[in-house]
Amino acid sequence: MKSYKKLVILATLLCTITGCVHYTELNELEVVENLSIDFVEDTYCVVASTLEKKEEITRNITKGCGKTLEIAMQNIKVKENKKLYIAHLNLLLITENVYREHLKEVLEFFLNNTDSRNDFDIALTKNANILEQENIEDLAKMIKTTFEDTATTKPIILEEFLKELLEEESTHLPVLEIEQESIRVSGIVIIKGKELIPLSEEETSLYNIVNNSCLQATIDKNRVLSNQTRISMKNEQLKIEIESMLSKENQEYEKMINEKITKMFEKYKNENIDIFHLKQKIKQKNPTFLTKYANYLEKIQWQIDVKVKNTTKTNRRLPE
Amino acid sequence: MEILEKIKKDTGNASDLIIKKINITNHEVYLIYNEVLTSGDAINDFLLKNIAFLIDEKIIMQDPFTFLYNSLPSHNVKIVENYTDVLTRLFNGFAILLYDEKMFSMELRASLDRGIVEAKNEIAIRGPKDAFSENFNKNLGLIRRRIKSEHLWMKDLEIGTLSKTKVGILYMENIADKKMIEAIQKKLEKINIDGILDSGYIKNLWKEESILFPTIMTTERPDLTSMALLEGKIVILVDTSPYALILPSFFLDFFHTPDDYYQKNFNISFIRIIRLLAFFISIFLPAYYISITTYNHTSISLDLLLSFIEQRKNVAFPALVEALIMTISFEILRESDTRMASTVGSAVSILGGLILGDALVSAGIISPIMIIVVATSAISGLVFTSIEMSNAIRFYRIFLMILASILGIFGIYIGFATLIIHLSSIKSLFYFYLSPISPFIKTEQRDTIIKAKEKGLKLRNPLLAKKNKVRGEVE
Repeated sequence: MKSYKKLVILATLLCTITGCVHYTELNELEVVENLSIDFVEDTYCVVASTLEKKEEITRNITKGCGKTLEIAMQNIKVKENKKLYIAHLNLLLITENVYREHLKEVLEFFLNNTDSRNDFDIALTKNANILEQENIEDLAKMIKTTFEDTATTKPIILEEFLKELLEEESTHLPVLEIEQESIRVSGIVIIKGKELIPLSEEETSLYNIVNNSCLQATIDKNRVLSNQTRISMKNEQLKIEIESMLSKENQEYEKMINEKITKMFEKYKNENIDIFHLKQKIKQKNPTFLTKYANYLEKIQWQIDVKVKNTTKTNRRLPE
Repeated sequence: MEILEKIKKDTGNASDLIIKKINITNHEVYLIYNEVLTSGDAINDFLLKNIAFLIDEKIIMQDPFTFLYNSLPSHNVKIVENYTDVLTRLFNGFAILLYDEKMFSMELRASLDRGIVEAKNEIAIRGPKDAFSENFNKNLGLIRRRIKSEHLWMKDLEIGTLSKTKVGILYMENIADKKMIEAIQKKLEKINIDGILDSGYIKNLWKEESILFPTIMTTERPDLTSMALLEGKIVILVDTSPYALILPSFFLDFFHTPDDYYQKNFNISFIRIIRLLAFFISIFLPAYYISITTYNHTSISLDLLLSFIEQRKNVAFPALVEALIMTISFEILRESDTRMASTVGSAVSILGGLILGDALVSAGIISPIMIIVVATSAISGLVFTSIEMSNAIRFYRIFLMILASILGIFGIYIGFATLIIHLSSIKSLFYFYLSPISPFIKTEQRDTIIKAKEKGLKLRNPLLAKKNKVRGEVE
């Protein structure tokens, strides 16, 4: 009986110190799917697209501005006094000036918010009003689909973004922009400190191929159905082996890829940018190379082996 | 006669007490019996017909008492030595023959039971269908029919100062632990009550360690009872009760059914996993639903969250109130369905289950998802044949629902920890309730949740069997 008394006392104490504060019924929540943050004239402007399910899922757009991000979020008007719920946030869009000037505040807001998770996608947008476009869809899914189909972008979640930013001093963000009144995914930006290096769609595909981060891609009208890249280092020479499967035979493919990768590397090398994050790979394979050569980019010698594997062919004659 | 007057006086001159005076060749003999408890046919066919024969044939008896004692056909004839026995036997269905202050009794009991009927509460798909009835001897016979061994022993007790109910402690003398038998006997002898009308009385007076979980198994199945005896357990049979008590009973015993031993092991292991799953679903599902609708919204996917929001949009009550309304409605339905005559019962089920459920949703009192949650949980709780187990599950379900509404998933963790602490601290007789999981008994793992091939089940539970531990090798 004593144990029951203790249990009752413990349960009563627990009730007083935890729980209840965070009590929110489901129907009091306004679920935020996408959030875009802009900073203009010393004011944060937040646009949220919220989800509602009637017969189909509908998206509502709400806005809020304030001197701080917290105030801007509080100023977002939600119907029926619902609570803005960001735990299921799919995509966070930030503008270039937010990245350059207020990234720390934005990251702190999400990391310190107990309702927020850090597994949502993060992207850069050129247009602050991107969420106010008509008929917007699931933008995070759009980025993922584009990446899986053409590799002209590369999604990243907040957790990875932070990890790469802190540990590798370099990361990337996918870019979304408005083109002819519709939203499109347009490449990525490589982030190096405060510097943003935009990559075109083709450059993004090459970036993904060299980093072995994609399966399918489209390079200069060549459809790559699957791709595998291995990077090794022997006698201070970097060897990049690319094995691709194409949808159509192309004798020029190997040469073209070789040229394009070399050209891209050279272009950014001149600006002292390690566009393919080769430093990390060299660090793993031959760490003395980096200590030996301070300006390692100049010393890199590489050999690119491109193999086209099992191009799909059909032996059956198609009906005429 | 003085003794006849005393019987009349002590029984309040009961109208069902028959005292018949018979003259057999100048000898006055009195036949005393209770017409309700004795069989009229047996009185006529075996007693009166034979006495009439003696009268017709004018048989001369030098010592009528001894003559009648030896000649009247009855399987159980006993001389009554004192007055207390007269009343006891009269109310046990015996007929008493009185001659010259001397008496003997004959067992001519009327059959006041419903015979051997099919088990209604512990239904098995395969295996025997018979069930215990209210007749002690028939119940004992059903067990003896299954265990034809001289090692099946029984200790007789009489409990109840007024009911004088016959209680039997059955055990396998060559398997069961003597200490256990003695402990049970002592505990039963200590019971001081005026009447035992069912084995449930003994269960209640036993003072089980847990106020919720059953530590004594109740069964109406003679095959399950026989299995328990062969395992080294003790069985208590009570006259006028169609339920036998099995001691000790462990937590996992309630996940087993006699069916488990009549079917393929692979299927049984699967079904037992389903039962275990049903146990957890039944306890945790409504609590988990409350926690995700009030605190832990993040633990479900966005699509599911939006569906739940949509369904709860028009509901006026908080999730806990909604869940309690639904749970209590279900319990009322179940109770009314149990008590109601079977012809009306189905109509009540339809009215309650379909019409009321639909009306509650339309009125915005509960959400459709809550019906799914509570119904799934309630149905899962009914996979156990033991009503006590179902009741314990019901209590924990409500307890966890309240905890979840205060603390969310953290509350469920606390509830789960409480459940484990409670289960592992209680004992059935001398043994821990969670045995053979805690304390861990390696050999017994072959018949817990996963049932091994028969070869693996060669050994009896070492906790219970103190002798003849290997099945089949009996001294």
